[in-house]
Amino acid sequence: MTFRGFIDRSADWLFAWRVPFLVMFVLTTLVFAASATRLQVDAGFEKMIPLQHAYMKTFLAYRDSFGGANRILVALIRDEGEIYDARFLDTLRSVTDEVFFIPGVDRATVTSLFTPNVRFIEVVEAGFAGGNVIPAGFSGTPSELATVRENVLKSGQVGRLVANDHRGALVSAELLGTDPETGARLDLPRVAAQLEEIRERHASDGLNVHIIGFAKAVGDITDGARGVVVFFGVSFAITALLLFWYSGSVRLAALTLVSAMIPVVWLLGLLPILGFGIDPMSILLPFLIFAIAVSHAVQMTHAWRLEVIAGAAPLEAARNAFRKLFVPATMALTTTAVGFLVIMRIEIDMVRELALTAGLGVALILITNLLLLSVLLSWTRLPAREIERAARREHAGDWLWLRLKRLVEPRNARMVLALTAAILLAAVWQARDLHTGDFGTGVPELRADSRYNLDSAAITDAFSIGVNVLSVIVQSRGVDGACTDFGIMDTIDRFETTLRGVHGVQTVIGLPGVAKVINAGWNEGHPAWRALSRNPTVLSQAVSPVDTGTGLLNTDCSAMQVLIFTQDHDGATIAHVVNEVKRFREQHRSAELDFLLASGNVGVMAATNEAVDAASVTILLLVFGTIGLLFFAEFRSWRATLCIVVPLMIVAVMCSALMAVLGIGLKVSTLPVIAISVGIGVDYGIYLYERMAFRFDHGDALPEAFLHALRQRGTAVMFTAATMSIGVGTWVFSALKFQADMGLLMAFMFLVNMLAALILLPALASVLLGNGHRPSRSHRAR
Amino acid sequence: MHRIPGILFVLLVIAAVGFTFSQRPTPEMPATEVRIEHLLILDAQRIGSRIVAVGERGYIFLSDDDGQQWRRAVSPFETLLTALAVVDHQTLVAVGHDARILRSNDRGETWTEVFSAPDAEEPLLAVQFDAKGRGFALGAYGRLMTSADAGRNWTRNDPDANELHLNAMAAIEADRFIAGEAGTLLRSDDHGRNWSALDTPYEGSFFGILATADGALLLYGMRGHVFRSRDQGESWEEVDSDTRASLFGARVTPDGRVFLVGQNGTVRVSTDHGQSLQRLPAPSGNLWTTLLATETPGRYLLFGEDGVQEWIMEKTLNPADKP
Repeated sequence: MTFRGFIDRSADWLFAWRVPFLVMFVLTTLVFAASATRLQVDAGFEKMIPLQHAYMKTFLAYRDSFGGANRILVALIRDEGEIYDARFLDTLRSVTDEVFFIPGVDRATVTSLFTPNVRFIEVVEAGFAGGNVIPAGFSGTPSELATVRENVLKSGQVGRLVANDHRGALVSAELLGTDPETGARLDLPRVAAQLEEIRERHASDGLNVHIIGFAKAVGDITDGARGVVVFFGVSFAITALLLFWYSGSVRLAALTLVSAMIPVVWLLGLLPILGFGIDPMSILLPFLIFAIAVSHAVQMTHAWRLEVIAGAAPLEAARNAFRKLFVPATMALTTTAVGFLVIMRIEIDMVRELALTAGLGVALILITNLLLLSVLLSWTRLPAREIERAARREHAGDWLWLRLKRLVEPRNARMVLALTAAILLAAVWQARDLHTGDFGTGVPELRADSRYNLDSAAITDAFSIGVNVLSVIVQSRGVDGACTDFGIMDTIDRFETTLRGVHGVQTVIGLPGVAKVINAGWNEGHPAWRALSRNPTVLSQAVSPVDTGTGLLNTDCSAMQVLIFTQDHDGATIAHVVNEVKRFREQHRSAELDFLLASGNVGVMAATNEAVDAASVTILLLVFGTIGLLFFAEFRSWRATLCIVVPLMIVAVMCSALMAVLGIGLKVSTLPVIAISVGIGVDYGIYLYERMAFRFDHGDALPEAFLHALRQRGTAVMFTAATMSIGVGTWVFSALKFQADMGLLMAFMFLVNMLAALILLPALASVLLGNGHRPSRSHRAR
Repeated sequence: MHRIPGILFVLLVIAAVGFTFSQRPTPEMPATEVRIEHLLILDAQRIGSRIVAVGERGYIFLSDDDGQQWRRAVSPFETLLTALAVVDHQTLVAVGHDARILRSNDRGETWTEVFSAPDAEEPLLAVQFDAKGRGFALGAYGRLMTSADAGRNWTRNDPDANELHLNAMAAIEADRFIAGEAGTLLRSDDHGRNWSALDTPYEGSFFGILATADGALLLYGMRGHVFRSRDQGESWEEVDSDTRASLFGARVTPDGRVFLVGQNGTVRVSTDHGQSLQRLPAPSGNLWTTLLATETPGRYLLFGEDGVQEWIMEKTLNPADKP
């Protein structure tokens, strides 16, 4: 049986059993729709990090010892005046209590001026004296307020719990991993909502409440992701309008929308069955699946309509459309799936889940588009008036098609190539500025002017607290009590000092630095004693007051953490700091001592950036290679393959250039965009070339074959590219920065790929294939 | 033949893609260097037109433009240096932990160790030379070391100080004074050979002592305590410093003013040789250890926890400004 024969047999079989098929589709859709209601948002931290990366192995190994990654900060900052005010301190006390009672807060770690773990110590003639910063029985009298001010100065909390200019104060707390009441994993968005309630209760004129912390960021990201549903509605409406305008038929527009929605419903129903949830990244997937499904449905309805215009009955037209589109649709969807699957090279669970579910979604589109839509069309009768109008409109595009056809003339083709080469070179020049990672400060997932990032800026401004931390674990092996070993502590101290001098580093905190200050404290605060003692007993005196809760050491001192605060989290800064850490490590590691990268939010970013960098070249090679092979396998012409793959490459370079110009870094959310857009963007070329090859087989020369392809598929190509661009373009308004970036880049990629298929493909075909008659090479000749 | 442009174009695209996605060089970053603002500086001295500063991890910094730019000198050891003294126009001596004494005879460019005792755990905390090249290095647990040859060789010459820390030294004519822990106050009238205890005005620790331009002694230390003596330390009267922050450093500037600096960014100045002290709006800082006047009137350098900070004193001082 030939391949063609197989397609024909399938078509016969499908349309003979079209009623049972339809019933089955309806039932399946109902089942999946019911299942989709169980879908849950799942924004786990571990899904977002490259768990296989060496840094993250260190991170996970020491996460329990050091924690610190899940801290929340609530800052109260006055517009005018200092915090030494009865009403302000009363509010601070209430906020402290309210944070204390949030389920999931590790109560022992709640810290503010009102908690007993904050004390002041002063050196007096007889030794040390100290007490709580807020005196017992505090009632807010002026003399008590003056005492509080003095105690705050002595406590050394200025810049930490109290703002540098004394206009604000902080409440800080660590979160537990699990909810103590339910024992389940802590619901971070719920904690975020409770923090938001605290803000609402206490923020007033003249008093600002700023909240930051991983839990709050996750809460805000989840909220932002939910907002995406609105965009789905908007892009659905726009698509519906465009479809109606395009087809001039309510019936066809409705059919297209229904058959494009069904794979989305199926996919959402399958996710809970597979045990997947939806996260801020994969929440974009339904859009994308919908848009892809629409674009293929448009090709199907268009092909069907051409048959109807030519005089076929609906059933016959559907059968023909099915036969004609089987190859290009399968190929186009396969390349789309390839685009998604190659991003699995990024070893991050969130990305892999996205790739898998997207691959699944694309497979579903193949079923619904080829089978369901053609079955539905076989029952569709267009009024004679609509057919007539459609027939007229079919030739409306000819003015453009005839012009585009001229591009295959050798002179024009060379002009197009010369112009493209010039654009390409300009793009290469820009694209070399593309950086891996993020730009700026704040949480990169959210916009710079989001509430969270403004809070973060307000807190870092008022307090001497950094929010970008790279932590290095200093691990000792076979040393008993590494904290009291002068050699080890001295090396770590040198590490601290060296890292402070690295460009991009703000401050460095480590056990030796703290121990030196404590040692001076034992010597009446005299700074000349800020040194590490060679005597283990003396050194132990300086180290033992440091609690493991500080995250600077673990209980047996086999691991110590050095916190490196960076000025920002630009990819370039992170890479530089990490390289300097590695350089120090090479010079100073020994059998007893090693410096392990990395933890802290910057550590996670460093690992993520490296994972993205490592995957980027492979991903592009894979996506271009696979598409090229698939295309070659189908059309058996390496020249034709070049005609398809070369425009994709040019568009990929242009996308990198656009990213560089717009200041969008190469990261977990944008690297997949390139691969996915290439996988989807190749569709236009495939649909066009398939018709050209068909005409070549009939003995047509290139100009006629191209004109035929344009008349058959050109309108649909232009229309689908425009609809998809508008659909993903709505993401630009998302509250989440990475969704906005992805939307913008994809819209660009779809449009430029469409232009490349219409303009560059004929020019390349002209110079590579030649304009003469071509002997048939295809095995599909019929 | 007609395919050559096409093939060339394809090759161009492949090269362009290869170049675009090839390993990008990491952007050039300023080289890593230990800078003075990242370190605790404990002492600074002027030698000719140069300023030399010492501190944390034994780092030594030099400035040849009156404190605007600093560069690191080669220091042979990485232990805290606590004090610095000028011996002559070429020679400097620095002391610190491990009882280490370093000497430089090229105005601070290079240093050699002349003494150390790492196992003794007795850091040196102060160093002084007289005009004849006689040197004194003093420190923890009553350690006193003397040199008769401009700091080349040192011998131990501990006074009877009950093993208390000796924090600072001052001289008026032939008399030398040592101030230290828990009210320690010693005097020698034979160039430091023999020492005797003086009656102390305070039981807490003194971190410094200095001679003012009018021949008085100023003693300062814990919790903002400052005392003044006009009779070679026989009797003392307390000076109000208006602070309870400990004072760690003091300097008589060439115009005769006395500056005191310390904890919580405290800076006090006296225009009457220490009889009274005034509070001044100085740059905020956590801890100052010493101060130097520059060649520009009104411009000072404050040294401490974050290296060095420039301070332009806006207010002209006169005795009537007393708060």
